[in-house]
Amino acid sequence: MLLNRENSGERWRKRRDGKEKVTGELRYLTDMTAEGMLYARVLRSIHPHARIVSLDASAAEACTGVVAVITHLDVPGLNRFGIATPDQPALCEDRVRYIGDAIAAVAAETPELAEYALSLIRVEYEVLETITDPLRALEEDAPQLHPEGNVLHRTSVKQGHADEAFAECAHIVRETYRTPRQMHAYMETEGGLFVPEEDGRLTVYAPTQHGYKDRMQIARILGWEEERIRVVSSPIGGSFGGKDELNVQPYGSLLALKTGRPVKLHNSRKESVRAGLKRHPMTIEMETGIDTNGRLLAHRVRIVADTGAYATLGAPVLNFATEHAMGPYRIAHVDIEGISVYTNNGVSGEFRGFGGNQAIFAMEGQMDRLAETIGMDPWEFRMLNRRQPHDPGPLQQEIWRTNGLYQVMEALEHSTIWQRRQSRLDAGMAAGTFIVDTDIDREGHGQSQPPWIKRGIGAALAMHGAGLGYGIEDPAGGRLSLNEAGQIEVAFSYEEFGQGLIATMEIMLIDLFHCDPSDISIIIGDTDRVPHSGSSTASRSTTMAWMALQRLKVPFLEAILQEAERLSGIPAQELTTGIGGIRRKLDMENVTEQSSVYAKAGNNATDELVISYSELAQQSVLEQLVFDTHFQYPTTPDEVMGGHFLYTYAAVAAEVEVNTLTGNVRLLDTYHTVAAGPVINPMGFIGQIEGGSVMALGFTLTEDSVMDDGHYMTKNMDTYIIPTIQDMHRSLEVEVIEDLPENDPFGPRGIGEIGSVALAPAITAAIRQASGVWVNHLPVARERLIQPLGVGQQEGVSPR
Amino acid sequence: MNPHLSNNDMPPIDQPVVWEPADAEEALALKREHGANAVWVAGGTLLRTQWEGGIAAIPAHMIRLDTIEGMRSIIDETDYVQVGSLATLKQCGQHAALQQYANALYMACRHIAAPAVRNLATIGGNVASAVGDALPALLVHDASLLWIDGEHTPLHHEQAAVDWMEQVRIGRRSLHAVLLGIRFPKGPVISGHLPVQSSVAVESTPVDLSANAVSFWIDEHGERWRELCFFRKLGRREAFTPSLVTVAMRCWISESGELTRVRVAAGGGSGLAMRLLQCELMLEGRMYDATWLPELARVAAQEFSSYSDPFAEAPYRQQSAGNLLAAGLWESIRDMEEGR
Repeated sequence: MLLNRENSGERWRKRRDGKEKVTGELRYLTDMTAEGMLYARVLRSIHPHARIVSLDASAAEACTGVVAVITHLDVPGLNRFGIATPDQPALCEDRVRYIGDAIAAVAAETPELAEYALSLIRVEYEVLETITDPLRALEEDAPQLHPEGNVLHRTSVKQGHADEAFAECAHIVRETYRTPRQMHAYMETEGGLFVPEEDGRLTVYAPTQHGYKDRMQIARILGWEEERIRVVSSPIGGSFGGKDELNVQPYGSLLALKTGRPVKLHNSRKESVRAGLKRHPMTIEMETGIDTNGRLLAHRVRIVADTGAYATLGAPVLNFATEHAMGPYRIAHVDIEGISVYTNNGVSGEFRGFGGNQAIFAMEGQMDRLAETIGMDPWEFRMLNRRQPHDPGPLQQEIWRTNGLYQVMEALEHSTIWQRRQSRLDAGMAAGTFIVDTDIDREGHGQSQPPWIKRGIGAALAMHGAGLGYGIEDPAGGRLSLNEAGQIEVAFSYEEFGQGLIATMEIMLIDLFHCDPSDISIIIGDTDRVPHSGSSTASRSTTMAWMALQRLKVPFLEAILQEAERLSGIPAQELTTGIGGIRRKLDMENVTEQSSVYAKAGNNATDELVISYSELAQQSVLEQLVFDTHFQYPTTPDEVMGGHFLYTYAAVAAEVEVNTLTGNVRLLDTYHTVAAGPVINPMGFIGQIEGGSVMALGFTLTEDSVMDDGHYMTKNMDTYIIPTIQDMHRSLEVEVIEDLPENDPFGPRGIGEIGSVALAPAITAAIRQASGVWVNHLPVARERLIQPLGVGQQEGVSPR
Repeated sequence: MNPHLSNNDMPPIDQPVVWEPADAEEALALKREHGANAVWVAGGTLLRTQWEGGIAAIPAHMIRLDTIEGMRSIIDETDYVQVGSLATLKQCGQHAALQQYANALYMACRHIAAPAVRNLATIGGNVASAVGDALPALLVHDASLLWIDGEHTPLHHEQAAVDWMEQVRIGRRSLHAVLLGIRFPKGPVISGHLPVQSSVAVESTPVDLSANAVSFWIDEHGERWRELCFFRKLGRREAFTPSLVTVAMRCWISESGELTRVRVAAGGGSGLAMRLLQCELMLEGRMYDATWLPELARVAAQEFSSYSDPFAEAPYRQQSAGNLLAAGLWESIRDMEEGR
């Protein structure tokens, strides 16, 4: 089904946080202020790699209006942070390893004073060799960035006997792919308000994807019990993985405690670029061989990831890239090795797609090159080699079986855009042929296309794991209750960072209880108010919320209907939840009938109101109407580190226009088909796919944090080029496959990442068709596509 | 601000002094007084990106130019169109007289930065920066600059834009001059009309890069010459982007296809715009023939001197400039033949 307004009926619902966001009324956490608050600024290293010889903050401390200066000496607990491996100093002691490393922080009466105070702090450095290239980091005489050396993590997947199998291959394609250091470019930069409370606790108002994890990390730095800290973490002005790790929280917390006053800290864009995480640039060498029939036989992959100065989630990202480096294909002989290497190039970390984007770009590139080598249609080639329904996962682990892979492949094959490609080929335009078309502008005026405008269509496939994977604590849960205000209240430790979690939960609750949005309260992003239900990462929140509600709805319904029976005298089996309160079922048959939820809600409105939710709340013992559940995100039973159990499938097609005068590439029509189970929130679903797709467009065509000797050349949004609305696709179709196997217990799968992982290879395949050039480095260099006027253009340049 | 802190307690945080001269003479006097510690500020859009990017320090003194009266209007005179240097880019990109008589400038102004910036940024600032995208347009329109210059006698003088660019190139530009306006000569036009769609040139109109004003000129032999004029900008994305390359061209074509009064210019990024004199020479008096377009592209690429930065190498900029010029001419002829 094409997902759009028309096909969504009443489920096409405006999100409840939408108006506040688009009008700018919404107060984000970084908009907050407190009476008597101080302003903080962080002194960061001016060298990408240096020893700190001396540090003197006395002049800053003596400055009028400066209330506190902190250095590593002011860290009472562990002076390190990092979600997976705490190896990043909150405040550096004797060495800096990247240009964003923090050395001191200041709290002052005004932002200007805080900035001025930074200029008074004297740091003497001894500059060390900057490691800019992971390969240099691996050399024996390279400076060692960490006690355990320059290698953060290695991966290895060996299946069959690749060396021997390559000897049997009829064709082998070898290619090296490189991907950029993409920036998350969220609208709200990192920041927060840090408030020491009168009761001796600390409240942290700072965006993050996992409030409880921040609480743990901050407690570890402060040397406190976690419970003394409250982390309020939503709403968030975008994150995409970039705010999952700690950023400014250590400085805000330490300064608030040292001064006893609220402290506000908010990164400028420049500082966000300098200190913030980026996507891992990867160099992926692939060697892939097929037999004479086009069947994949052997696959060798070497992944080198530049993880930058500190670990954060570099190791799991490499695990994910490794797992996705063989795609949804059957290959008997596989030899994959990955290595994640420390350098002085910023810090790489979590980013939407989590290493999949890089690996899928490379793997799909191999598929297209192999298909072309033997003159086979690229989609037919993929069909020939795809995994079979009962195959295990890429790491030979047990996975939950669906037909998603087959369904998305079939959907793409029948899509308008792929059919258009087919009809061009049928008309005799072989791959690599330049396609001249008539461009119809918005007023419908035709204009003949000049010969330097070439069009091509490409497609790519992805199988994307959700959840954190085997071997990593991946808790889930939730709480359902009737609150004092007489609302059905749901509480999760998930976060709203723009993805539409609140809207999706609202629809889930209306589905379950047939009530009005005003009957619902959704609590997230506050460690004092929500249970520990894990993080909003790895496309997991929607599935987790759905599974939690499935577990909680029965006991909750039983309890409140029993309570309503006690208060009204009407038997519970004649009662149901509805708009405004508990209602008596007028037509018992309708209730059991599996009709549309909204039709039922409509019926509810005419059912007799027995007792309103607020009356029920007033007359009940509310503690008895609170239900909690705890469980783990579904994991493969096989002991394969990082291996996933639930996979989402997607196929993407893209049409591009290559202007050979300039090498400029424009994305025209785009098609995403996604098999991720039932769609809860259609508008949110499209938003996620479209947003992911545009992010992938930036990854493909323009975005790269260019570094020179450990310094960013792209210091701000004027040189770091993200797509604007003018660069976006001309059209976007989202086709959803909602089928799941019968009795599938996991419900809707998350789709936060799947829109972003497969567009790049579809675009480069389209570029190949348009211009005859294989692109293996992203972002696509115009230099590769520019041609002298009149060369390779059969049409010449005559207008007539 | 902490109420317990008085201004006297405050550490010496430098705040720029902002001066608001009432006229250009006063602005000159202020500049003379504060010298290198003072900068002129009109829209302030470029300066802010320079300060934020650490390319320039925030100066001790800012001399506002937008407080000076009478520099905002665009005046359509008999022989020329005069644009006050405080006219915003938005104004310039919407003005009918500029669309007709200085079409390359009109198009350039529609493609600089984003609408919010164009509301503030002035044409004077774009020109005085010496690297603005409007400069190639000034060169092909034979524009002249109206200065008030403390280092010049008389104080007021008019200077061809191409001469000023040369002064900039050799590092001899006056640092004590305020640009008052820019004059665009109308050329030999004796008749002309505007295409229908251009009378309502609002921001929401789809930008048509090939939209040419149609101006005619009939010479003494009765031959009718039509103006061809275009501007092209290549950036790192479709909109709101610094340019990699900008090119502009203006010439007149007879019904038989002969070209005359050819002006060709290129610039872009932080490079200085330049007239491409060899290209002009190659085209002057030549009959249009699509077969020599590749040669034009080559000559232009060779003649255009550009630079490399982390985002584009000089050879790429040169080649794309050449291609854009040749293609722009091809598109202009196509549009003419297709009746646009």
